[in-house]
Amino acid sequence: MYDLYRSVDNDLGLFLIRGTGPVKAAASTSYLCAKYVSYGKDILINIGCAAGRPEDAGKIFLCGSVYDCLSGHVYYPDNICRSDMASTNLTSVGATLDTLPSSGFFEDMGENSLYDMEGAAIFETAAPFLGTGRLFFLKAVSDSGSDGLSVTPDSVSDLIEKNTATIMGFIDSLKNYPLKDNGPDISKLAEDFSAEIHASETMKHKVRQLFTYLNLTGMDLMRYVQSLHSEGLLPAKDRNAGKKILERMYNELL
Amino acid sequence: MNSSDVLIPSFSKVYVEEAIAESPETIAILSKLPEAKIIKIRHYKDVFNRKYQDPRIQKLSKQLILASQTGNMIFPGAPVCQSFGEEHFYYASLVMGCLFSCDYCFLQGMYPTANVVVFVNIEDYFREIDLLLEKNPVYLCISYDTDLLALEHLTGYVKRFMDFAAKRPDLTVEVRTKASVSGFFNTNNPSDNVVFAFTLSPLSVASAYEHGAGSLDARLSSIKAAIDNGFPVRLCFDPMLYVPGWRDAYRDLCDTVRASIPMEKLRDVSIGTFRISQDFLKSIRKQHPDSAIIQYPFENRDGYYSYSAFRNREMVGFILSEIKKDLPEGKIFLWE
Repeated sequence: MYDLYRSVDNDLGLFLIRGTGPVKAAASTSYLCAKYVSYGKDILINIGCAAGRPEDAGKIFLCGSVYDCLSGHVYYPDNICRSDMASTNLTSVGATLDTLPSSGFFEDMGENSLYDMEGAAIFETAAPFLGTGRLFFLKAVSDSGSDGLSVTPDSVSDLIEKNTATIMGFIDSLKNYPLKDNGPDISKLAEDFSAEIHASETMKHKVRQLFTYLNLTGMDLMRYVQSLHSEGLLPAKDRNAGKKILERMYNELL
Repeated sequence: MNSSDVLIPSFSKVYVEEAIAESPETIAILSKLPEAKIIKIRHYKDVFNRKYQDPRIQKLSKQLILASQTGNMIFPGAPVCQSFGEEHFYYASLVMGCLFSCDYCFLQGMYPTANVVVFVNIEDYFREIDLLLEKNPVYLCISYDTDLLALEHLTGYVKRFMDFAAKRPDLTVEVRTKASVSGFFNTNNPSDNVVFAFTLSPLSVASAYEHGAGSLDARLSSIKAAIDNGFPVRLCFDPMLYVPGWRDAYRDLCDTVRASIPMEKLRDVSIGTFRISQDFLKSIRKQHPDSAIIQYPFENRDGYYSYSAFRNREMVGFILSEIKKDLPEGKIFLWE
């Protein structure tokens, strides 16, 4: 249904959104995120073209805000990575430029803004999957809206190709972007232990928190649990016996 | 390669509410950040309260928001706050968010972001305080939702408050800090009714869990500068944090403090163990899955998490016995 290419080392995926408009953009972004994105690890870069000032034709920008003309919302990607690209605002219009509203905040942004049809839809769709810190919008200026230039697949390809070095430099710099660390995984050990003490849901929660803490202090939990086995305390004969073991751990280890 | 190679420095972007873009305070703050990129916004909540933010990444590169506070400015002190026996105890939220990133800080549970909002309409705060002063004396903490002294080079707010308080004897202001700010005390005049409260933690805690804050040595130098220049100083062993070997760590801390500053010149000392509302703890734990200090299996009592009653008594009792060697009990406030 959609085209996805991957780099040889699997670090980089290229996902093609064909066609124009927010509906296609939202649908394909939703597909991409639901199927492939890992929260806290992946980054989404929306690379595309936009209308802008004639003097900026061919130039590529990193967008610091994305204004959705349809809803009136302004979305702000964190954009805290270093970049040599100039920064600007992006305004996403529902259809064509003649549908723009003529008053309010939008008007104030307008002079410095680029215009596309997809950015806001992509932000709104992708933000729950990636977070505001892992979304980037790179837009190359293809035309000025009313300058009579036709935007064709070939002209867009040329435009992106012309900016390939800048785009790849940006992507390279993101390879060292901080990852979300979910911390050590003690869930299997905690689950097994909970089963052995016939834990209730409340006890399971206590075990999970206790094990998380003890693991972070550097304690060898596996060895401790083994020692409880050696003492003949595990598996506990019933929940009451299990409660006593947990109580003993709280007293001994905290 | 570390994060500073990849990320822009903190405060290199400033989001400015359109309505206050031309205010003198905004212009003064921006003049101190000449390299910053300015982004106009409608309302600070459009940036500060955005959904799907990741404060763990934002902490590595905090950005600034300048705004006008149009809602509540002065709040009654929260139940978990030490009131120092003051009947009319309030706090003001001039800044939301902190330059520092302490693993255990409640602000991480309170705000969805690591970015910092400075409210530039400080004169409105002064008007609110004057209205309160018409009703009763006011004890006001101005550095609860931030570390105001750490931002003094940008805002000058502490100095403004000192000037304001100097003409209002019924107002007592507390400025809590973990900053290294000796210079401030060497270049300003003290006011009897502006108290500087320094939070102190053992070296091992400060270096592992109080990211960006002044080192223990730097804080002690600041305290000494404050005392030498006649500023009222409070020491806060609050929150006390449980770490393996906590007794030795807090004994060493007390010994270091004794050796560094004239204890008899302290206004008072505050002691309390770590406590936090249950909603905040949940959020903070998500942000610090690898921080033992916040993953400790606390006990929940009436919606607040803290250590067991036994552990609380043990820790408070220990440091109390240490502090009583230097200060009379009347100068020691306990949160229990």
